[in-house]
Amino acid sequence: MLKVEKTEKDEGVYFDLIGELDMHTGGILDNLLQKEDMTNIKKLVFVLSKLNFIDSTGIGQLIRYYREYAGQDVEVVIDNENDDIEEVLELIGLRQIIQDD
Amino acid sequence: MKRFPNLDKIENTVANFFEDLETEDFNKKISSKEVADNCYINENDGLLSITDGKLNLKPPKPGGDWPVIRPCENVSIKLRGKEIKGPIIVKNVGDIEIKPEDKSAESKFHLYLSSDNTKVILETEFFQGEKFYIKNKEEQHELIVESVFYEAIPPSPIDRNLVYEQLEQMDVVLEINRTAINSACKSLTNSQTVVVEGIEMIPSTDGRVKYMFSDSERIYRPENEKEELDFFYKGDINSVEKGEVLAEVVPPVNGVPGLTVKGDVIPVPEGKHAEIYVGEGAELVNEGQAAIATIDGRPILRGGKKVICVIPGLVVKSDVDINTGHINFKGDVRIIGNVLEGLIVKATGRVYVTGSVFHAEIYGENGVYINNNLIGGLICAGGEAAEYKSMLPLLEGLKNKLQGVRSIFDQLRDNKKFSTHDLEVRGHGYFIKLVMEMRFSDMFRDLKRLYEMMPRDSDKKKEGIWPVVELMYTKFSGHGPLQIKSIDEITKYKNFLGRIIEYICEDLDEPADVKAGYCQNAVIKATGDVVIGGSGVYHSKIHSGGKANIKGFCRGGEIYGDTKIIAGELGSRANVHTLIMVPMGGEIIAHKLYPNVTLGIGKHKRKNTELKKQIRFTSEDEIVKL
Repeated sequence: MLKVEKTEKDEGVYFDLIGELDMHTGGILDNLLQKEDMTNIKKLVFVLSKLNFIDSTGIGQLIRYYREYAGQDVEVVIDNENDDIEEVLELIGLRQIIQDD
Repeated sequence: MKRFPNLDKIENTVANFFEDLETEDFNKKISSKEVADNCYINENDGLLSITDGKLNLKPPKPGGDWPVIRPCENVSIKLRGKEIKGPIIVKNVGDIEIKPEDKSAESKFHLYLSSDNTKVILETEFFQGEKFYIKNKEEQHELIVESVFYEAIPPSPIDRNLVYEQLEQMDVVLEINRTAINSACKSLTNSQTVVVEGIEMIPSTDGRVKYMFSDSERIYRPENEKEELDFFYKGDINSVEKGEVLAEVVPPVNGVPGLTVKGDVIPVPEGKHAEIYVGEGAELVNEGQAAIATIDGRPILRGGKKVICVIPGLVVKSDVDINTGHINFKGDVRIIGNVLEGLIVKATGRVYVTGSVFHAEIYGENGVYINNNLIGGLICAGGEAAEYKSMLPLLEGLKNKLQGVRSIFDQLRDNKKFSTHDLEVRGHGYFIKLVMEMRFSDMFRDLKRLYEMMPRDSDKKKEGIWPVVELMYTKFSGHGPLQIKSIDEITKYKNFLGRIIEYICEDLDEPADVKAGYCQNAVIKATGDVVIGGSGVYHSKIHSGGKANIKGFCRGGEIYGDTKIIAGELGSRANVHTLIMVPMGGEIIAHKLYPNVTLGIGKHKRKNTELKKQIRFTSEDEIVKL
């Protein structure tokens, strides 16, 4: 299961992902973002520290958001303090394109 | 003297007289036909005629002549019982007998021996007879008696007993073909029939030397409809390789004795044995029954004895151009001149060029040596090994990247926060594609470069590593990786590449070197060293299986050395990008190193950013030092 907690701050919109981001739950995040009005958003932050699991589909989804919102001048950032999740991001190469907050 | 007054009148009269004389002569001519038909001049002459084969006489009137009779072909005229052949005067028809002379039918035969006395031949001839009758003739003074054919007389069969009698006199001992004789005698048609037959002698065939090479200077390979017309192709230089069979002895074949019709044996002499003669570059084997080449070179036949020699090396005493055409030779080739654009020189030995090479291709399996400049084109020393050696950096890079993908997967599999459930459902392809794009994006570029090295010939594409290269290109390009079910497939490709790299790196019998004075916009591949002894190398691609030694500058392009690269200057003040690579354990030495030059040892690469002098780039325990 995936629970998403949205927080709006001055610097941008934060999405806290809790639970699993994988091929089964990715649609929940997709639906949420589709409803979001990006007009005045300058920065999107995905917080992964509370994720239990992430799979390659979830990684691919985050990369997709990065590429999509880059075209709309929205900065996409991944905030994470979990070492295991960070290892996943490093090994797959996501950290080469999406910086830490 | 005073003129006679009537002279004119006299002259006119004379002229008229002559005119009158000429007119009278023309009117008095009698036609030859009238003379032939009538045969008489005087109407008092006697006449002869023929009616129903009977001669009739009209005696002459006083003053006339008796008529004349003459025989023609197939006519008999007798005067008082005596045959006459020419014209005679006829005074009494009772003395004359005229009758037609029939031609009688004839059947004859002739027996004769063939030139070798193994046959008796019966030759038969049949001639048809002819019957005539005397032609009616009207009254004439000179009568030619003619006959007219009215019936043929068939010939009779030949009496076969006469044939047998004659055969007996010929001392024939072998069986007589009586059926043939009977048939020939009765056939009434001309024939030549064998009536007694012995055995023809079959002569022996002398042995001979069968030469396995052409004595032409050039040999043209069969035309291939798929190949484009090549105006530079003037045929391949006639050449052989060491060990190649040059000639074989074909042994004699003994004949079969004959037998004459008289029972005598016709002996047959034995066939003569042939002998191979060899000179320099060739030797006899199999107890003289064959000759082989002891060196690569051009085979020739010398002298009347046809001594087989192999001349090492080919010397081209001119430029290699449209006049000489391409050169393809087994052995060394020495070119006293240049090699011009579009030409190809191939040698199983070494290629020496005293001049320069311009946009040409040179393949020397034992080395290529260019005295002057190499401008454009391709130089390959060491055969296919050089081609494979030049692929090594790409293959090693691919192998390392595939290993990287595998390693990442193995590490993530042990990560407790990473789920592989999606991979179990859809296969590992998505993960592989993701990692390749994010971590090893230049892998596709390397695969494409390898793919572009594939030969264009569809048969050669099936050889060597090319089928796998083609498969890898499909598997790892675009959406190809999504089809991969398991990460183990990546391991298989990695292992395959590892084995190929091992084979390529194995020690060769003898490395083949390339030497040139100057090199510009060219490609050099060598299993041995590459030495550019002149001013330098400009925008070229060099793969050396040993050392790459560039005395002058090296600007632009890519230089690969399997052991060491030594150069005067790497790069230039204009900061042109240059790639210099050696494998782990190798070293790069230069007097000057300009910015924008990338130095690589194994997978470690470093782009230089400032001018440096006297540099030495090495690796020790996998640590790169500059």
